[in-house]
Amino acid sequence: MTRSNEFAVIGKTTSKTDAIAKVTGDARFATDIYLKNMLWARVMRSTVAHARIISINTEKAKNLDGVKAVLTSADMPDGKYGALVLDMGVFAQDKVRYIGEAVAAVAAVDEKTAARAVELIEVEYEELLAVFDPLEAMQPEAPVIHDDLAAYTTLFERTERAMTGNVNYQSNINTGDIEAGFAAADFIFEDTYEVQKQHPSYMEPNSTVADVDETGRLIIYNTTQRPHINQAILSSLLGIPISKIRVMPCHVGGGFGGKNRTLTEPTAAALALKTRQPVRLTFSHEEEFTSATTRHSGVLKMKTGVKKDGTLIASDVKLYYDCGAYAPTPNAVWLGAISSSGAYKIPNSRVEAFSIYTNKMMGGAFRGYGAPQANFARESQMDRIARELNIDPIELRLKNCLVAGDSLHTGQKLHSVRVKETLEKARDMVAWQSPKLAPNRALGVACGIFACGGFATSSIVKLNMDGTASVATGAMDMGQGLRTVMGQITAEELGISSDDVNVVIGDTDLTPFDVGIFGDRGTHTTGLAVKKAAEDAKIQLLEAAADAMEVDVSALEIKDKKVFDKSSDNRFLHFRELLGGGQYKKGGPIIGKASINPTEQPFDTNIVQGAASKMFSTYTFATHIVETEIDAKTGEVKVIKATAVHDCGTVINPAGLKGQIIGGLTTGLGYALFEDVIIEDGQVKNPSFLECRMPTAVDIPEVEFATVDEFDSRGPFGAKGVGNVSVINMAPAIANAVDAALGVRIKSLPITPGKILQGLEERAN
Amino acid sequence: MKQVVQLNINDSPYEVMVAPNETLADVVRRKLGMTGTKLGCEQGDCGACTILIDGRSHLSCITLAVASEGKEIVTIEGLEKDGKLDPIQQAILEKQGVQCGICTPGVIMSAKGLLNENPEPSHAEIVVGMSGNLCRCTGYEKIFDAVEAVAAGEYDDEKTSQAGAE
Repeated sequence: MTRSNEFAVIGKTTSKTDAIAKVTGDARFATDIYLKNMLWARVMRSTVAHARIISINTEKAKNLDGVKAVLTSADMPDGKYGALVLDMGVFAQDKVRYIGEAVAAVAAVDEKTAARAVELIEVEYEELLAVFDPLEAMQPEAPVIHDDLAAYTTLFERTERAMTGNVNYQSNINTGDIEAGFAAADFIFEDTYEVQKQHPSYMEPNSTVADVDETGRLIIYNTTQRPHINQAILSSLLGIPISKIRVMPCHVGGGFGGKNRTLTEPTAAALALKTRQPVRLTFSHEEEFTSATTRHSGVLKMKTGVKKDGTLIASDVKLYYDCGAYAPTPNAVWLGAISSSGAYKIPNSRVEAFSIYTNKMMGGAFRGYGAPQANFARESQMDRIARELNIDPIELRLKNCLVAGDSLHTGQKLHSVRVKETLEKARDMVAWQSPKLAPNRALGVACGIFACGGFATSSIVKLNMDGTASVATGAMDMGQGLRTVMGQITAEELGISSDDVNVVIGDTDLTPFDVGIFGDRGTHTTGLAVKKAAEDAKIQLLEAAADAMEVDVSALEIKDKKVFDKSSDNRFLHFRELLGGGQYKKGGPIIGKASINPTEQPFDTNIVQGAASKMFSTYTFATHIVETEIDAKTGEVKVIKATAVHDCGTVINPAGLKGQIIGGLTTGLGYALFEDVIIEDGQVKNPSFLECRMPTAVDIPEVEFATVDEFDSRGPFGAKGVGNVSVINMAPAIANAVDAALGVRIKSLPITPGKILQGLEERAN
Repeated sequence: MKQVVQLNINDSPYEVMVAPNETLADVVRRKLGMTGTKLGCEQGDCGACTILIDGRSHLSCITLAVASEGKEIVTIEGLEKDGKLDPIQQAILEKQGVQCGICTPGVIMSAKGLLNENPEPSHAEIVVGMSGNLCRCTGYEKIFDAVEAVAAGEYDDEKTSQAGAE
């Protein structure tokens, strides 16, 4: 087992390779692109929540001076897209299903003309009954949002309710004997939790500039977490070959899952192809809040059977995730199902998880990817169990937590688990005695699990004539630091410094396929492909050196950009000697490559039905403890301090890791306390950063963080992910602290002052 | 009706034809090609478009270009001098205060404005002073560290040049 102190580059803080360009303003984002003759696009959107489209009249808009093109679904090939359920067209087809849905789009010489043209488009609707509540939408008498649901293409094994009524996806987990488990329980706890819509609030809006080059190829400048999937989706939606499309992503001004979508690209591309001019489509701030994607809201029912000593013996969970009018990523529901057992061993477990259509803006991927909801329920209830059984909350968790070699309720055996150590370390860091510290002041704890890594990726490592390397991958950096980490991994493997690695990402002409960056897979999975590609290049380099030095490869070792003959310190060749003159002789540079998919093992269908993936590569864990103070007069919760301990395997870049963890905590804090996209009768009531605010500088607690020693054999140099798991504990930890301080248990997010005051009043009565 | 305005940006004079309702952000970015000033919400909520006008931080997305005539405007492009980063740029860089980077120019300009008005802010004053700049990535802590370090003189001229030489 290799530890970080044996590495030259891994585990050392490395400045982000793109940070200088970002502090000078040189870094180019999609919204910074203004091309010559560029047209401005604007989308005409539905003003009703559910209606049949009787007619669309675009004549007046087309006749407006300065308008170059107007498109509706009638102008597009008849395609639909989605990650698991292919249910959405570029424009509404026959029906609109939420307020804010794209009905038509305009390209004009300037923004003002485009906006005016949108106002001139006339749509006649036949309004239909709408449904906004996921549980109501599951009832047999509910309005049906997708009439021909059963005929849609799906990419998962359909379970009994999937693609019926308003349910588009269902997964089930059944392990052990649920009836016997509850029969053996001494206590049964049953709770219902509710969670709200949280917007990813990346600060850079979705934006695409689409251009057609001199050969007729479509060029896309955009902001995305998944350029290669963008390319494939554009090909299918526009009906043009994939090779005729080049996606060239710019720097991404925040993604957080929200840019694991294809939103502005098809519209801008279709308009560019039609007009043969560059077209820019940038979402307005309001469109971001009405027509992009939020974290799924939903209802979670959790019933847990416990022995007297606190041992969890049975769990029955029902997850009702509201995906809105379309289901771009029901995968989050699947991840919610996995996470719903928490980081615990529960021998008898049943989960039914549903993704349900309602007439609202979409729910989909957002940092945490289905787990923050489920973990709020699991970790809130764990605290209730601890309190009622009079067991210390950390002791209860330690008693039940998973260890390496255990199987998760899905049947997947776990090889890398240090959640116990995260609990113990966090407990020691805060000198935990009991949760309550003073009147209105208390600690709250939560731990959690996140499925980490997997899915297809690839990398190419080219060794350059000057002894440096270039690494290419189709993955993206949204600010989490992927560029830097891929550079470090390449450098470590090749025995060179990070400064000697040129990292190329995203561009579909220059990089090999990656499925997209989501689900804590960048470092762990893309990083593994990069390591393997570098290893392949290294082997070729050693072979070339063996040839040149007339020794066996086994006699060679690499140090400081030189290949040494181990038998003699004086005999060595510089990389540049091998790669400079040498490459002409050999007819080209050394190119290492790797294509991997670490998620190849299917789940056992006796345990899991409707899985949205194969078994994950690994799992990542964390414990967070918050110290909160509550103003009992106003109900306001102040988080004073957060302590985070992560099991993320080997740390590649300590400063980058810290940034990821604090950023994740902050997003979790906003989810816990105030972020809430409020929708009434299908209309978003607070579509701005001002009205739907994310944490600002004044909301931030003091943060202490640590990692526990772990080496994941399946990750590059032992590393696992951290981006998602850092979000999932804050809401339950804060709810638990509120309960410890006030005796008020809040079971719905966000934990607003109003709910706390109401709780205090109910407690008093 | 459009009119010609004389703008002084980063110590250079510019003569630009602008509409009365054109924002300073749009003029700087589109007409002058300086896209270092970022646009987030375009309605004054996020701070990404922050620039300095006569030394104080302003939101350029809700500032009219016509109202900026005769004033000294500084954008992120104006901070680097003789190939050397401004202390606050250097500090944000070294304290790892950059993630996605879309808020970064605005954060830097707000920090400049804050330090211009209050060269030795307390931690609490830094927190409040930076609270108009939203950042979804960093959780702000490293931004505070950077501003504190500059205020404490860690990045005075001598040290900056050393750090830059590394």
